[in-house]
Amino acid sequence: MIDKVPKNIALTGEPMKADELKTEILEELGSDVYVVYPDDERHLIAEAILLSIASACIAEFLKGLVDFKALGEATRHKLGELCSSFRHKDQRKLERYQDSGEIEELLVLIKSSPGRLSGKSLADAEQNLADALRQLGMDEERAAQHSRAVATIISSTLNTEDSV
Amino acid sequence: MSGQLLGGVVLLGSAEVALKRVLSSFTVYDAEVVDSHWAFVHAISTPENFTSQKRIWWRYPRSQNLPPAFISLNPGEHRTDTPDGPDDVILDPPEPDQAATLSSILEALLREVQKPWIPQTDQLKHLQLSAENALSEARKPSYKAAVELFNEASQKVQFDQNADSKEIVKHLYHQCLLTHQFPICRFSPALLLWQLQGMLNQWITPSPYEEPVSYFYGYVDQIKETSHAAQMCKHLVYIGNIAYDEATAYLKDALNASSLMKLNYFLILALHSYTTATIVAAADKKSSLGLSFKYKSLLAEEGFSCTLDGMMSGVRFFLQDPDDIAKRIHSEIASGRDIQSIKRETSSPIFPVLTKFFWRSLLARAMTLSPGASFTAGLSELQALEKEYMSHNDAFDTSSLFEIAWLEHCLLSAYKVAGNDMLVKEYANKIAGRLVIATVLHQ
Repeated sequence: MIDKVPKNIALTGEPMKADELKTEILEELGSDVYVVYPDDERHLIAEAILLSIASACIAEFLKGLVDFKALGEATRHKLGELCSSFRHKDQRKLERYQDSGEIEELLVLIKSSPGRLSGKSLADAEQNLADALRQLGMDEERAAQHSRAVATIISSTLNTEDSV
Repeated sequence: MSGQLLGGVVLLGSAEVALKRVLSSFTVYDAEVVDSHWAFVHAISTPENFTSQKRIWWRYPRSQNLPPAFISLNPGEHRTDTPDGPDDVILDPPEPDQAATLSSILEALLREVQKPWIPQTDQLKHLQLSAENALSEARKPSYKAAVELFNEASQKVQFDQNADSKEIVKHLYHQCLLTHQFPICRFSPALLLWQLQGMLNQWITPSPYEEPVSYFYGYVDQIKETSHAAQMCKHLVYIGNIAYDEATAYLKDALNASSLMKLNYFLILALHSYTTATIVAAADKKSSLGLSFKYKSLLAEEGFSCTLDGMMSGVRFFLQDPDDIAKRIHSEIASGRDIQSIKRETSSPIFPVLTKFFWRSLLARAMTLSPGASFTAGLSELQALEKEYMSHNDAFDTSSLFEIAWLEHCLLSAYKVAGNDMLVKEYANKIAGRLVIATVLHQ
């Protein structure tokens, strides 16, 4: 028997949590996530890497909207490492990274920031993510396309009251 | 797995959607290749992959001209170079169970859907004909009809000034791909070859469609040495990029589809588009054209593998009682597994087995299997899904029959658990009513 309603479940009308946000982002990226591997490798992409890619996309996007300095030093360091291993396709580090709540912390921070998601800052955030995806090896058009879609996914989550 | 349709559970519309899924999986490659692929996958799925101290690599024989590849399940990886690490061990796969081929599953399903209690809809009759055709071809592969259609299409474009290329392509999709008359591994290169010849107005004689892959590579190699080379390169980049974009879009459409029948349709289109993108990128490499695509060939190949895996995993889904799957989900959640992780193995671009809608219904079913704290949330979700589904879909649309029957089954079972006799009766009546209508309509 399931003793309690699982924490990470999202049923109709309920707000989206960080875990679901990652799933939505992975759905958007689709098989393009394989860009993280060199051309001569053929893997079934590891679940841990998938989750790190999604976390990195959230972090790269929000980096353009909030100042990471407002976060604790340990969190800031972890997110910095994540973004760096993402941009440098460091599979080992990506596989080892485990989100211990810093993504939710980031989402809380952005929700509490005044003027969040305004036109210019949103465009900057989108640009920041597109740059990261390009650095990862995606074509410019595709990077921009994914970045735009991820921006929509994250914005709609943030615009839902009490979403985190 | 019982090997029976839905493990013996009778749900309206299940015969059509199951037969379509098995048939679609069977007609991705030539029958012999599909059967050996299926047998290999099942033969190597042994516990020793996960218990051995060494990393096991299974030798995978490829076509005549290629050396074997190596596949490891723990962790999943595919290599074309021989693994030679200190912990690597290479094994030949155990003898495959010949009774467990995909053609034998298709044959068994074909017999099952002809049972008297399965309503023989027009759609089901068409699917049975296609399945019989595919199985007869399995014994003696011949794609004469499809090849002839491509020959006619070539003649038409060359000699009929009023020929409408879009209409011809639509006709080829319908007559060859969507009706399973030509495996995807042949259809995609044949269409590519037809398009490229038309774009360059340089036609091959005699007909190249019997062996479209090798003719396509040969054609590219020959045109490379002519004055049409620059134009060909431009067209190849255009076709490859469009195919990759379309493939990823189809995969999303598949997951967001309103029914498993529609998911199947989009998976076929995604497989076709990924195949096209892969072949174009391979031609660039083989003929050293130096083209620049917006995708890497690895992405197209992996996209194809994920889509194929999702398509074939669907075969296993239709051979089990869906309640057993809900029970497994239930016990995995109860033991602390992350729900999103289960979802990603069931309904995601990496494992596109089911639609997102169906996944939600399975999860809600898992939550309503027994009374408990999650029951109320699960029941509300089922009610919401039913409302949502009925407001967006035609209850009499044949492609939605299975989803509606499944939701009614889930709600009836949930009301039984809740002890709500009135709603149990209401749903039993609904189900009986729909079955009676189906029986009358298809007498």
